[in-house]
Amino acid sequence: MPVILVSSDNQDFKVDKEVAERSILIKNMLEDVGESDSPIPLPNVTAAVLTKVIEYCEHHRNDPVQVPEETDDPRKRSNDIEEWDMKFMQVDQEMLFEIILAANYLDIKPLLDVGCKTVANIIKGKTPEEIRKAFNIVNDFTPEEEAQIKKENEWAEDR
Amino acid sequence: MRELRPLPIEILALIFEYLPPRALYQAMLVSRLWYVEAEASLYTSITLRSPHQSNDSLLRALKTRKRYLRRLEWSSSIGREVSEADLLDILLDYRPGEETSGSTSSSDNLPSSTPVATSNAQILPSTSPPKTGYPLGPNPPALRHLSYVGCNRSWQFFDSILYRLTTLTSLDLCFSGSAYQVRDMYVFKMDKVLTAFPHLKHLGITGTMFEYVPTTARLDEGYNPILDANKVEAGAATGHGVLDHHRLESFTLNPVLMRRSAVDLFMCFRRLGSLTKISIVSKISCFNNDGGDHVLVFDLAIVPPDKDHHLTALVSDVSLGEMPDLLTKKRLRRRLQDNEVDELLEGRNASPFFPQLRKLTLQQGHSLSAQDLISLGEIYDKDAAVSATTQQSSTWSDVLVEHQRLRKRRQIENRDVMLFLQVCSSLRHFALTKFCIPFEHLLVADEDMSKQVSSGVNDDQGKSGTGNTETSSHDDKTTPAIQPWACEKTLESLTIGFDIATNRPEDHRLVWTHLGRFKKLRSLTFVRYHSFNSYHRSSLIPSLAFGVEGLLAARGGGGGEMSETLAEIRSLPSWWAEEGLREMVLWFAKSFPKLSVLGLMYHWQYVEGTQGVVYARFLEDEDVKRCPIGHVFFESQYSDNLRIRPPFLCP
Repeated sequence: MPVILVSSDNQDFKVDKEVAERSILIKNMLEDVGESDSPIPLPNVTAAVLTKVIEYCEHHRNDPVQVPEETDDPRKRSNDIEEWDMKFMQVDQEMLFEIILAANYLDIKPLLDVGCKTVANIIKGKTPEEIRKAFNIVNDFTPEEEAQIKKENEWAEDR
Repeated sequence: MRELRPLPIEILALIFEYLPPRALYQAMLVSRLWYVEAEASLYTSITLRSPHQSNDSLLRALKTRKRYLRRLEWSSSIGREVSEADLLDILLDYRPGEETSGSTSSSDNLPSSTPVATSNAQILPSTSPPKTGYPLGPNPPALRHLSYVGCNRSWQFFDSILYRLTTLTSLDLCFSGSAYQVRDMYVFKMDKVLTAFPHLKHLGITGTMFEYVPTTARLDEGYNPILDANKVEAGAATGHGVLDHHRLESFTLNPVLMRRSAVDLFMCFRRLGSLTKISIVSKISCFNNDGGDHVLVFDLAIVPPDKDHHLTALVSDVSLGEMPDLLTKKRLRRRLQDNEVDELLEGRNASPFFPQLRKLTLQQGHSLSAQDLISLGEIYDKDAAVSATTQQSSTWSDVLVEHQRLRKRRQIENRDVMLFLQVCSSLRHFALTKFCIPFEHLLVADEDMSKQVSSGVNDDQGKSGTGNTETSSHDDKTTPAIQPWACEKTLESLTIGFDIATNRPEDHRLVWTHLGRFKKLRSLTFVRYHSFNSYHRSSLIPSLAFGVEGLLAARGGGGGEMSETLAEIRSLPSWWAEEGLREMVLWFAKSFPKLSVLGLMYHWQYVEGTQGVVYARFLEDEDVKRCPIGHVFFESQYSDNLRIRPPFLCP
């Protein structure tokens, strides 16, 4: 049975229930409401972003449910993105951030993970100034503070 | 440029989980907001290895940021770059001589942390730690994962810290260095670890030298390991046990680190009923020469102590002090073990050691003994789906240890493998790689049973009208039949070899029909084992004349369920005929729509001299090339050792 999702700019999206339920938020909502054909409003997601999110969920509709892996190391790898996902994430930075925010709001863990890995890969190998430029961030440190951070954490510079 | 909606702080934290230290260092310097999150992320997981020129800086920084610490990998020898005081400060927030630990100051007011004085000079006045262990400071880190590599000299000190770290969920200890006398060895108290770390899910004890708790010490403390083991059993049954099952799920160990002399291993392993994964690491770099027996994880009594009347009788007959001596008498122990197996085969009840076990990995230098195999079967474990991997012994010391072990453990025989396959109902992967099962051993020995089984096979096949004639004779008492395997409904991958000495087609057909009973088989590999002095290969012939269509016979002539699942066949025998290989490949292509890989067993005749060209020519046949199996090839018998690799031979 299809489900109707409504974006923040009031656009309707008709998707298979199986696809919509890749979002844990929507899955829980459908479970709470029961059988109903009333549209589901998603006030935090625009039509453009929702289109992308649905594209992702369609492609991964048959993926097995991700079991949270108990990993020994809190530090994770970011170089294991699937080819399709990598192409999917080749969007401008604004859209990338919006997809991450939508994945977070809709509770789509695999999409959130891929988004975070993509941003991590952008950060890797860049200097602070390059990162600021890439993400449009203003440096709010005093030179003294910057020097002290460097000094205290210098061990990490080469690891 | 349009203003980007900033990522919420919790998402920033998620992103930072994917960054290595050097990238986090750069991220810290981006802005105040990023600094806060990057700092927390940087100090969450720390690896300290020596020698490293920046360890000094790391230790200094870590001491004021240990509140972030969740995972610590420490493999730096104490006394060189790192002192005992450093370890006490970082792990326990304890600084000897400081009555009130102000502790974690650091960067709450960014970035104002006051570095603690460099600690290389801080060597504790006394090298012997307090007997009760060092106290905790006011703000110790809530450490979840600890990996510690240490040499014997530092273990006594480490022991006085370890049991304070009660928040651990994962602990890896690796013992390096050497000790030439037993009294120098570190004594690892397995039962104490289980009690001290109630939340522990992973435990790894590896390395070279250390000893499991010595029996004499434990017996002096006046407890009876066998009786206490029974208490665990009883406790598990009633829910009011003296010692409950521990929640440990994963256990990595080097078995030489444990000794048979410790009878109370029973009790410890009884508590490990939640284990889902056991990994036995057996890179043996030392060899004990004091006469102690090495203990392996499954080197346990099959029948639990309270149900084993031999052992129970032994306990009541002798004083506790004598028991260890008795148990080290090899002949006696072997007799007890043989009795256990016999009782098991007679259908005696037994309970599982590891009812949740899903994955068993044996590395280098191990083979399962018969007792081990039985203890993994359904007799013990109705739900286990065990994937066991064994590899070949490689070094002399491994071989010696293995020899020692096998002297007291009966080696696997065909009857053990058969018994295992007949009873282990939820097996998903099974690989038997070192030998082929003789055809005769597959058959049901008992005549009455044979009749039953063969009539059961007929029931399955009767409707199809293609039931094979060899098993459908009603009055021939000697009709051969194969005992069904319990894993028919679950098995997904099978590596096996059949040694069929006769060239009677009906014998081969019987085995093919037997294999056709699997419902979910995706991968089928035939044994092709070659070593220095022996060569085993499966001699089951896959041709229509030898009944290969039996694979489809189990559920009617329209095709068995395996036709829906089988995707890969490896080392399919191809030496049996020069002609007919093309037809065989085409038959497999037609019968198994999902088959995408078909590896043919290599034989020297195919690749050497002109004969090779002739034999392999069928691969160039247009029908074969166009068949739906994407990948048909000859496999190398010697894997990568072939100097000349003909084009049709796939690695």
